[in-house]
Amino acid sequence: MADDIDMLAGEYLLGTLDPTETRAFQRRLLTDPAAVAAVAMWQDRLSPLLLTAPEAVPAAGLWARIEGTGASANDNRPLRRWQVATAAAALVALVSTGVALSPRPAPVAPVQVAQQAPSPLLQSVAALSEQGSKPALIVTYDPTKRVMRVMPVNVAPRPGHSLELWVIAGKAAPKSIGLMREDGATALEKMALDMRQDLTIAVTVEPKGGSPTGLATGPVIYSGPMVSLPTS
Amino acid sequence: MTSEDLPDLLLAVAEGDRAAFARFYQRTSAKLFGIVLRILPERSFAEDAMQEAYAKIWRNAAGYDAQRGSPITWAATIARNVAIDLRRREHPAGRTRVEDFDFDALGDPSGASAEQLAALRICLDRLDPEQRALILAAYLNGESREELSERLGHPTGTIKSWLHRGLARLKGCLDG
Repeated sequence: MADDIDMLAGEYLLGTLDPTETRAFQRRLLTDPAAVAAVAMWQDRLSPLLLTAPEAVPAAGLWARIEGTGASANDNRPLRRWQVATAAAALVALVSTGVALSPRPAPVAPVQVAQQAPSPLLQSVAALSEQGSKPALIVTYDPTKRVMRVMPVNVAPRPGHSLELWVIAGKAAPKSIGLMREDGATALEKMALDMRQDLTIAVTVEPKGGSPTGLATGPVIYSGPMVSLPTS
Repeated sequence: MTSEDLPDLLLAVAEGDRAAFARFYQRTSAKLFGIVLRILPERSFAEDAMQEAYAKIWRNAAGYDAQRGSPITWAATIARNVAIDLRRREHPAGRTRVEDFDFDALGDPSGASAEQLAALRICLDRLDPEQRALILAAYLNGESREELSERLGHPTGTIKSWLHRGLARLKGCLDG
């Protein structure tokens, strides 16, 4: 078994899995710390080889491209990627309805639910928890405003690390949606989520500043499905 | 040119220091471009990959963990991953390389730990030549299983089992 995961992780790092296998393994990386560790081991084993590449000086214009259009045009400090959310009101609304956390409301309930949830923000919600324990995070998403709000309810601090949020749409590979603020509620704007798909939100522990590779590298500590609430 | 250490530069980059980012680029871009060009021989694709890689380096500098290797290795890994993603996405008619990888032609491994590289070299030398060639072609040139299968004229199942045997022996040799 240990050998299987090592071979799979090795092939994943080499890039020789086919696209279906790659996506399946990427999903596994979100929930299986042993798989993450196996990939990291292969990375450590092989990465010295990369530096044996003969140097090649890029065209002089490349730096201007990097500097001008992409990278440093934006502030890179993780905390500034997020705006402070005034999410307290939304949280109160959520808690007072109480129904938000039950999966897929029964078709007869909508009218009542809509009356109880006056805030138009609460159109989709996920309660993220450790397996089988009580919710640690509440995530809401307003598809009309494309705003996602993340409210820690009971999150253990992870000093020296960042908590990174991921969305998994159907069977697609996990996509990073940003880092959680260390000091509380977080709002993420301009989020386009396709609510017709089954969405799962997950949180991994990453090095400070987020995953260096764009793929989850740390263990998943919380996850939960996104549930659509009836809109008024 | 200053003699600043790359870890210090990267630390400054993480704080949003653009001048430090420019110096980090000066110090690392030739190496990273060399890595990317092996995967994307076409310069325009390689430059796109470089742009994306340095955008990632800028954004993720705070995530660099000194205990997991040198800054150049960290940046090299990011560049490789970006280049391979781009290669898979764009599929730039993979100018297939007929020549096998020549381990003796490796350039100056500046930045890698000498012992690590020596161990890796010894262990790679112990592999069967075709296993070694497959691992290097995949890791350094970014060839997919399908590309390897087409180029070498073996079914993908054969390629997979050679890769597994090679990886298992490599792991046994390096870890043992």
